[in-house]
Amino acid sequence: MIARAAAPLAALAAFLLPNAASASTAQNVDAGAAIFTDPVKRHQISAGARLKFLGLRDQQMRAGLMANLPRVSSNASNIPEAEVAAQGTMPELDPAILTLVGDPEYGAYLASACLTCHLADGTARGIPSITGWPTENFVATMHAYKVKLRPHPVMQMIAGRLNNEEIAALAAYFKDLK
Amino acid sequence: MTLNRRLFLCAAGASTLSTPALLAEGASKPRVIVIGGGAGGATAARYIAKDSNGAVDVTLIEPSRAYYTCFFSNLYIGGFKEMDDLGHTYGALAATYGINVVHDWAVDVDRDAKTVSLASGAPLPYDKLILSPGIDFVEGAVEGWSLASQNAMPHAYKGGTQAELLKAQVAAMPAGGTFAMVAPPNPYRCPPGPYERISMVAHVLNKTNPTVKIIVADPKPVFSKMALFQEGWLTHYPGMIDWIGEDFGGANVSVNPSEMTITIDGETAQVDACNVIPAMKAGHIADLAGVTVGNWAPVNAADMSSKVDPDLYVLGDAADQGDMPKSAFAANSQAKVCANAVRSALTGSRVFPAKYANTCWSLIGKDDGVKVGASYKATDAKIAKVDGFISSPGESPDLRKATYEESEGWYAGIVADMFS
Repeated sequence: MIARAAAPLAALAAFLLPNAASASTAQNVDAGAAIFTDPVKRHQISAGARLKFLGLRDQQMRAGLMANLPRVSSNASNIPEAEVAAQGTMPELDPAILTLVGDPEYGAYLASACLTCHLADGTARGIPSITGWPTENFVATMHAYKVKLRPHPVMQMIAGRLNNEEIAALAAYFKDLK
Repeated sequence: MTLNRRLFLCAAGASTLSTPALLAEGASKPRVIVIGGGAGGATAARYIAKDSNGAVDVTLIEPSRAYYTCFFSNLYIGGFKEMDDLGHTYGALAATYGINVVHDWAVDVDRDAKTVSLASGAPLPYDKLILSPGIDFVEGAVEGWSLASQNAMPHAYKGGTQAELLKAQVAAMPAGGTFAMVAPPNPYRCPPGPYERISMVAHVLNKTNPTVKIIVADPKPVFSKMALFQEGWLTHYPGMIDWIGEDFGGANVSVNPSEMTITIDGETAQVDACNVIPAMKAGHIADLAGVTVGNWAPVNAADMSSKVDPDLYVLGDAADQGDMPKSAFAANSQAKVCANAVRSALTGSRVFPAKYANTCWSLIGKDDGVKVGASYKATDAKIAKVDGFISSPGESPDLRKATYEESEGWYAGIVADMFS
């Protein structure tokens, strides 16, 4: 099975690691997505495999999975990364930005502006839930709005006035809001 | 009180009344009184109480036991919401955050003694006072109209009962009748509000009574989201709405509530329902507190403190703050900046930079939502606009529907942020 599925597995890897530098990344990501949607490819990858998923240990793979799942989801709006992924674009972020430790007290203050629209209890009603997100997803998404890769005028405006530390502070606050 | 003494305190207060001195003053907790339980006041009371974890004694004075939001009252008039959807109570503020919710009218403020008098008689002491009284109407602003005639010609601009009255009057209009609106001059609460209302009245009548004519007498040459509304009116309600702006005598208007007539630029017409939205001013308690200049209360942009009293803050519609529109969203945004500043002054907690934002959604027809918004910062002179956006004419029905659904999400968000 391993030999037969080598090509689909490479595509799956690209699907899970969309930001990995490779000339053929975009093509591979599409091929990776096709694994989920094309019945023939789905058969290739799944033939002989058990229906068991133990999760993804690698943080980058988890982020990639979140970013690309909307491509194959019939209700992509429920997935936090939906719109960014639909465009196939995420901002190129300095790793230092992703690892900034947010100031939770400042985060609580800044978050009060978000809570005019986004519900603190995490319910989504016409406006997405922003609680309990993995920090890196939250940070990447806010930066995607900030540089206008992600389309929404309110969020572009709000993210546009936040600096790296402020985005990190918000991510820290909302991650633990349940 | 003498003005000189107050001005002296303004100049000296910030530097001499240090936080430790204030904390050491007495054994009792610092006291904050908030007058007005709307988008500004309820939010400020909730955030100060929540974030100070009991270190600040917060009293909220609001006459209504159930608060019916003025925001979304147009959607009630249009049949998209029930009045019950718009009613909220203060139980959680008392039970969850320990706020002393007093259902009474604040009838006077003594800024020297630092007390608020209630209609029931007792004076309440404060260390910091937050006024969020919303709007009242300028007397004599529309010739022939006064509060005594609000039953014949409702303003329906404070939510609740008046919105119910106007909706009933729209429903009772005869075939071929006339609905008139007298729109207010700037600045006023909810800039797109009158035009969303026209849209909602037209939406109802278009279904139930399509031969009705709608006239708007407007003292302004242009209005909020004008291109969006006018496009929507042509699409949804062609030939139904006649908007008479300043150029065509819209400012030269009088009404006769007992005869049910309106006179616009010398021409008198019989009307079957008439929505008079007069010029507005800060809620009366701001006048009584002596913090208004003209119709509004000037505030400092950094923390919403009054320009005449550093221990008094004014939020929302009543404040003269600069570029922000008078909206529930804006009041809620200002309340958070103010709460941070007040809590810091009383407990020594950290002060963070003021960041303000606003978005106003309007519904033009079923699933046809539009929005306008901006972000703001504090400058020495005023709250100043930094960046903004507005919906475009000709947007897809899907986007308009998503915008409307977003407004419903915002409503759920802001009322949770005020009352839950």
